[in-house]
Amino acid sequence: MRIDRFSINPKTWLVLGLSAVPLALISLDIGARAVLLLLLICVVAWSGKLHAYGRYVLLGVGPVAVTAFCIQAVSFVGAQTIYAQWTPTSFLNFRLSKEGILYGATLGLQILNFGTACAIAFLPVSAGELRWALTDWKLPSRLIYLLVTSMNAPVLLSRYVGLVRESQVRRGLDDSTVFSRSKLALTSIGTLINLILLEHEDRAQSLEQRGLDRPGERVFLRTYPDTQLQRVLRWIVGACGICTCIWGILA
Amino acid sequence: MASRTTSGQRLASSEAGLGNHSTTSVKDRVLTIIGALLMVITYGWTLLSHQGQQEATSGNIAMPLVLGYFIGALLIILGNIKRIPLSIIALIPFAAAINIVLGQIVGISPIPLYLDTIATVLIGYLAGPAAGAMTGALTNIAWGLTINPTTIPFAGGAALIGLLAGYAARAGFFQRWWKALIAGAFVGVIAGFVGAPVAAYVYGGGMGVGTGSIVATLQATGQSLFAATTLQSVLSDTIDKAAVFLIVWVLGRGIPQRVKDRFSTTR
Amino acid sequence: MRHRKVLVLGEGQDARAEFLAEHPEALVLQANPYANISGLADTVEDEIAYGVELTASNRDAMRQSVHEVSEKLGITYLLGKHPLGLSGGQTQLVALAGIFTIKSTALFLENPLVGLDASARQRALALMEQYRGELMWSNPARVGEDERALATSIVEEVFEHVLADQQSIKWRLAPAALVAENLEVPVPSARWSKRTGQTLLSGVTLEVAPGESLALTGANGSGKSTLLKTLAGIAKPKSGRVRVGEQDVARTKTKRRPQLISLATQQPRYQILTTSVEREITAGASEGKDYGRQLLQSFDLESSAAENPYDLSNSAQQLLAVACALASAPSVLALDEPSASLSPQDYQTLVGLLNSFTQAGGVLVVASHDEELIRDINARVFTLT
Repeated sequence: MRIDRFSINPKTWLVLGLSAVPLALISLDIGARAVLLLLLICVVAWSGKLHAYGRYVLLGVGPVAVTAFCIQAVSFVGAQTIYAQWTPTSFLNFRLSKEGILYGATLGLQILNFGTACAIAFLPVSAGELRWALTDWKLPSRLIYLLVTSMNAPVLLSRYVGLVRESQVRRGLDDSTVFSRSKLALTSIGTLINLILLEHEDRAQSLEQRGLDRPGERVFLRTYPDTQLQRVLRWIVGACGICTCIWGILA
Repeated sequence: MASRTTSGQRLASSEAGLGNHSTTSVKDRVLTIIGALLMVITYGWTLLSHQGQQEATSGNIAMPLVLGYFIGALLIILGNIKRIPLSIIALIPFAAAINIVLGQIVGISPIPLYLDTIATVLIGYLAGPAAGAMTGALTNIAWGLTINPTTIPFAGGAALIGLLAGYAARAGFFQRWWKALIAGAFVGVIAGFVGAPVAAYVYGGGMGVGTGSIVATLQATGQSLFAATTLQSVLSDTIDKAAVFLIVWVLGRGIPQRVKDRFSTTR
Repeated sequence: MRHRKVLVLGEGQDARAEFLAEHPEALVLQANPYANISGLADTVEDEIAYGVELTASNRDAMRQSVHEVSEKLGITYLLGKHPLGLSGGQTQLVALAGIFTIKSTALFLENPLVGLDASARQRALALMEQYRGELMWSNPARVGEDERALATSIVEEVFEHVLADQQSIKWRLAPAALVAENLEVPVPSARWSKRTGQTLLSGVTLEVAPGESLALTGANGSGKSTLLKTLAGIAKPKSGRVRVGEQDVARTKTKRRPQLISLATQQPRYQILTTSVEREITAGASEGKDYGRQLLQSFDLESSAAENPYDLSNSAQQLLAVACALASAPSVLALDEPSASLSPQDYQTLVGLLNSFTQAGGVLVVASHDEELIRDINARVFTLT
């Protein structure tokens, strides 16, 4: 039996990623964290989402990790091995220290590990797949709506933003200065909010008629591959995740 | 001359509190209380057990902290999900998406604010504390699901902001711009305290370039990471939430009458 | 017994309430197409199926009923697309498919044909014809003969709205001809569309003299709207140029452009930029308050000057969009489907003003499949294929 990324069930991705989150957050030394990061990135690469992961790191966890590292590198409290020092005033004392760099790197790796674990759970899983998995796990249908639709909502918003932006250009509204651009941006937010407020009752009526709040088994158009091996794997990995949580709290 | 508004264009049936399950069960109440307690305990535990300790040993804090805040927020969501009318539930993902888009844009711009709670505060203002809390928590979770997972541990704090915005609206704080400003600053102080442990122990104070520099500077004066982050967090959040409440006050004035008629705070 | 099919014209509140009281189980489709998309699905196919997931006996039966309805509405080509990335007309068709897939015994459709082109409209009407249940639908705008023919009964409200005295407006405009030379128009780019970069129209050459009006016609997707946007300088052509008088539209600054050519697009609700009708008419490049007030007067909107534009009826919003496009005193007025949701009275107002605009030397370009409008404004027809 061949296992490739296309035969992985969405539930397996979710369990894998979510179980890795506590592992990313427990107390590990710098070496162990580096190894964990490499392992997690390998899993992301195997899922075929390395490109999306790059963007994800660049926009989200990356800057946070780098800033956290920099802060500790230059201003770690209790530094002993000091490489460089800068004291602009008597009470300010920036010190580039070995301890700071190490602690900063540990923190940075913790942040990257956390982000990468989340990436494993969510990047390979589309909104529709997430809905299927959560429905299968019998989560409340309203919660599923909230989670899944907020993944899709930016698509509709970007459409509305495009329309509003076009109107502004059509009407010849000034966008030459930073001030006028921010004013336009604020107007756009107001318009966006009004548009979603105007349609929410219709949206709710449509959802209610189509059975959002009705209980029962749902038939899905799509089927997702699953195997006995994956089912067992999910239980084992999930149990390990919970054990990590308990261990992390007790330690 | 006849008025040109659409006073009566809607169907009567759609106005009658669509899908309003206002039956609060004991179970839901218990979930909400446990969720809130869990968050309070988590915060208190972080504060008491680790303050003053050397930073290098703080590695044991991150996991229980994230877990406590996240499960707390989740329990609050579950406890309130049936109480909120379906028409508001339908609205929340789109409000969350506005927060996400805005927060992401402002986050990478040089503006030293977050502005990722505008829709949260607005929904709190229009639809009440529970809906506000739900929007806040969902924003951060969905943000994590799509672009930026660093926001997930702040879900509890975001829920608190929506909740407080709802109470502020009920107390009439959105009637005057300066009242909104004061309420916003006050909410900001609380949000700053609540968010600080996560910012410190999970992210080492590195939530942004501007805020990070403040943390670094404060640390350089000899403050601990937690103290430095708390100071920075309270400062930034106070300014940010004051700005957000003011923006919501402005936006509130532009909301069409037919929308205002649906909500008790603006009717 | 044959099922009733009732058409409600105008507001018709009583008829609606009566129908829904009589059929509490009736499904209702509201007029806003985007609000009928759940946001829960990755594809149009899943979106349509969502309403029957709980009642379908098995996957194959469900797929079959989804495909059946989609085929009848001519949207099988959309089934694999993302449901939130569709155009207004396509979204309306998906919403219709979603509600017709649920086999309900009674159905109320609010303005179901808005935004549909001739062939889509025929398909939707045929589906309504075949529907086995009590059906009521509304149309607040002008109604077609085919729509009347389908109805077993028509509830028509007597309009009390009196047509305001059409004051002779003193148009401000510098008459100039619109000339488009050898335009090559690309398919509009959108994130969800993989067809970007392809050519939609090529070799478009147009000349419209002052005082003349031109109608662009063609099916949905033939490029009417995109061509209008290109003429108005909002979309960039791949090659060729557009001039108003001696001035090149693409090279004119954003602030100055609306004085040459000004465009009002479809779906007026998405064009509102301010919080009152007064402010809306003076937003951006406008000729000032006095001219704005004159325009509001002649468009019969003055009584609503202080109101929020979102609180206006669809018909009034549409008129406001045209008034706003005129507020910059353009030489060329470009309108995309300006009559789609107009009430019969507002339609008369619009036609009167458009004719007065061209008599004063203005150039009018209209994208529309409303043959009555094209006749009433004496437009030369330019068909896109």
